[in-house]
Amino acid sequence: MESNRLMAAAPATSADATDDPSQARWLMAVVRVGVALLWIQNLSWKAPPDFGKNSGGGLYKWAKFAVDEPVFGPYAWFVEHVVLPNFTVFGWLTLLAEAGLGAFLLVGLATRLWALIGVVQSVAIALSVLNAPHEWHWAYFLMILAHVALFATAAGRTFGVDGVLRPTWRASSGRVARLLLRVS
Amino acid sequence: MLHRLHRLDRATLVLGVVALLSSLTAFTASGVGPHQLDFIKVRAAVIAVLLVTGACAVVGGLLGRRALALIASAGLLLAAAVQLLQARQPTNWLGGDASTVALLGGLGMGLLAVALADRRQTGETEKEAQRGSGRST
Repeated sequence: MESNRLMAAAPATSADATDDPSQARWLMAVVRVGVALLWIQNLSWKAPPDFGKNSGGGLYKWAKFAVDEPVFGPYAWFVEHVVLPNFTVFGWLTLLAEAGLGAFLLVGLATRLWALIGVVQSVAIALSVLNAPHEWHWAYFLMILAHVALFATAAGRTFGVDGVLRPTWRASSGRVARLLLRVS
Repeated sequence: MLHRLHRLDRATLVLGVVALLSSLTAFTASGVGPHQLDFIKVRAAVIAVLLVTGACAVVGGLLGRRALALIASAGLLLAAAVQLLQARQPTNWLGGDASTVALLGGLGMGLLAVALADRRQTGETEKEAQRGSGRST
């Protein structure tokens, strides 16, 4: 009781490093670029035009785990009956989504929108491969959480194009500018 | 000197420097370091694209010439489109893959967004801009 009163009365110390918001923003920019590199590096093994369907490897192999080692029944049904029969379209959509994630998170443009897309894509990957042999489930949970952090901190506003252009978007009455203001 | 530049020019300059520096990722493919650090496939032709467009953006930023930023952006986006169509194909002029598309596309989109921004609405001081960017929507 006494100690609680003392803590409430104690003034906040400005010397505490964790209270430095500029340092926190700078570090979130590092996280943003790191997450972008995660997506960029994993584009290398996604090989158009068949994305591994003919050889049974590559992206096709990993997508098929959703059916062979199902995590969530409705998602497994969706992959089996919709995704795998149309795999070329699915492969290109995956490649474009992940290239967009790498590109936009790298420069910090429309960062909050792409952070949400990153959450969705990470969930989709987790639902495909969570039960695959030798997978570490926390890798996918951490991917989801990293994108949540990028969204929560609007990580493109420091050392990102969002931070440079938001004053311009705010001053504009155009619909595109208002939209960009919301997603940055 | 940098603080005297308009912040859009400074952003153009920084993106140009990033393009120049990203050409160094070619060294991660040399086999000297761990292959886990081979983040982006950057080979000879892509290095040339990054060096030329990066230099163009740096000069554009330093001189405040928006046209140079647009040219650099167009070059990067064109190279990204070509690489997207030729990734893992028998004909691959740039020698990259989809990771190269993301790098070229990201820098190209960033430069395009900065180059197309309305400068009349960005005439505020740096302090005002910082106050604004910290404000929530």
